[in-house]
Amino acid sequence: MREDLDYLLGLSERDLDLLISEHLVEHDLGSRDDDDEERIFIARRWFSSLSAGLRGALCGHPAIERALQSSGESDRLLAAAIVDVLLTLSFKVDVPVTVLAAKVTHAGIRRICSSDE
Amino acid sequence: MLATDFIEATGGAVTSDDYPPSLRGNLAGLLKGHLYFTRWYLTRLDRETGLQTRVEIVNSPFFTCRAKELREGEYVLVVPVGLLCRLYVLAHLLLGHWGQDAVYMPVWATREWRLPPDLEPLFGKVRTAGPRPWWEGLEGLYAQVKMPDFQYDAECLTILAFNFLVCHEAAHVYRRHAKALEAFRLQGVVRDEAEAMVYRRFAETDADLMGAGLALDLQWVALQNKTDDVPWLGYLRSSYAVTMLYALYDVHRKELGAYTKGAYCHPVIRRQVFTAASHQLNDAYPEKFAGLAEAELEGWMHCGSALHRLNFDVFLGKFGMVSGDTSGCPVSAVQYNLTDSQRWERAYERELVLYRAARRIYLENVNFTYLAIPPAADVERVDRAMLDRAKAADDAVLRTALSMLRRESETSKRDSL
Repeated sequence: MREDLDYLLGLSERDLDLLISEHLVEHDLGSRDDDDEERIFIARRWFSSLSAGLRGALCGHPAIERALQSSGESDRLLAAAIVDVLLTLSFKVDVPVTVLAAKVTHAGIRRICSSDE
Repeated sequence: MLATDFIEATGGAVTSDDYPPSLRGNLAGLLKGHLYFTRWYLTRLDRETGLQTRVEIVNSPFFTCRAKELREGEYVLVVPVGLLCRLYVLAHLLLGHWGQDAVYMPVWATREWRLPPDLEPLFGKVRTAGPRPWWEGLEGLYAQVKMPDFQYDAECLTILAFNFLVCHEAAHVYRRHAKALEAFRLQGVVRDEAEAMVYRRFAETDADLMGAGLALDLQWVALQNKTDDVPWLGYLRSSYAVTMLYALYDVHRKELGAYTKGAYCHPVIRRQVFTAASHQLNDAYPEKFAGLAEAELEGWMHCGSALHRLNFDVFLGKFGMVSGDTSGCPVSAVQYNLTDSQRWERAYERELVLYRAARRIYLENVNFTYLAIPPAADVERVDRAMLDRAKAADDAVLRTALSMLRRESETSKRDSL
């Protein structure tokens, strides 16, 4: 359920970030309880560190271009295409690939591809 | 996940430019040097256990230190620079009350409370949104409370609190707490989330206990190379630093609200674990830790008095007024007159039973390399009367712990803690 694309695409960006950080740090032990702000900080930094890799994997990929042309009415088609491409490339990632695809969709594939960070 | 990826996600390795400008000169070089010292110390433990740990101060404004297993036997520990900067400012703030008589004012533990505005950057939740840097308010408070005469002491307290933080996280690593939980879930030793939470609470107390032993040993090593500090003063500072750390954490703990449940005990109870470990070490190694027990109590007392003084200043409005019907006190729950001592004793006993029960299960089932807690740094045993009182208590968390113990006892045929 929590890795299902429809469910993930229905989450707000904040909830998606919290879910990402759950995968990244939930099982770590620490010195005190953290809070949502800290978890969002970690999720966003983690995602940001993936930018170059994601650009290399996704930008200009024919499957992504096709999805972008035909997905005007639905994010689901684009997210599914992202999942397919990342799985095909065996893209190494620390969260379920569907979660990452939903995050990319939320962040905006065009924005990621036009950024040179 | 690679160590560099985790460090990057949690803030990235700190550089001197990342420190608040007014703290940079005092803290950046000091903490960098001390980071190397703690790395050296952990290398010895790595060799002993065959594990591999990396410690990093990260450029994060938050409070949480973390221990993460990256792959089998390889760990990374991160300590946020925001936490260390706050500790340094808090040290100045509390040392401003050094030598003053204690003022025990009534505090209302159950009353609605808020932080006064000037203390928000020190104790309050971190806000990263907006154009202003996270440390802006903290620098303002530092300008208000800094004590140039206590500069060296504030630096010592900051690095000793850092020691304890690293040693607490290192204890999670060397006791293999996370790996053990994963294995126990698969083996059915831990069956559901309630049992996992009992285990996590054990793991935190266990890390506090072992962390205390390691931090005091680290302080002993440091004191061997110092000619200007007598050991007694060094141990007093260790104790003061640990109290200060729990006082800083507690405000958040109250906001997040979890003491009888959740992974962490009340900070006063956590502080008591440090006292127990110190006294045990002093008894076991009277030469090595000469004077530790007395110095530990004195450090605790001085920091406690300063925290009461801080409450008094808040009450007087020194850090801005708290609006509405709410109170600005207590700033921290490390206050010993919030309730009577018998209640603290009972709360400590409860945690001791819970800890011992879960530790029995841990020791019976863990089947990979880990570092043992030396008997000399251990907490007292649980006797039959304590166990009976725990069994009679109307306490869901304790019931879960004791039912796990019963299951374990049926397997191992042992019935003592």
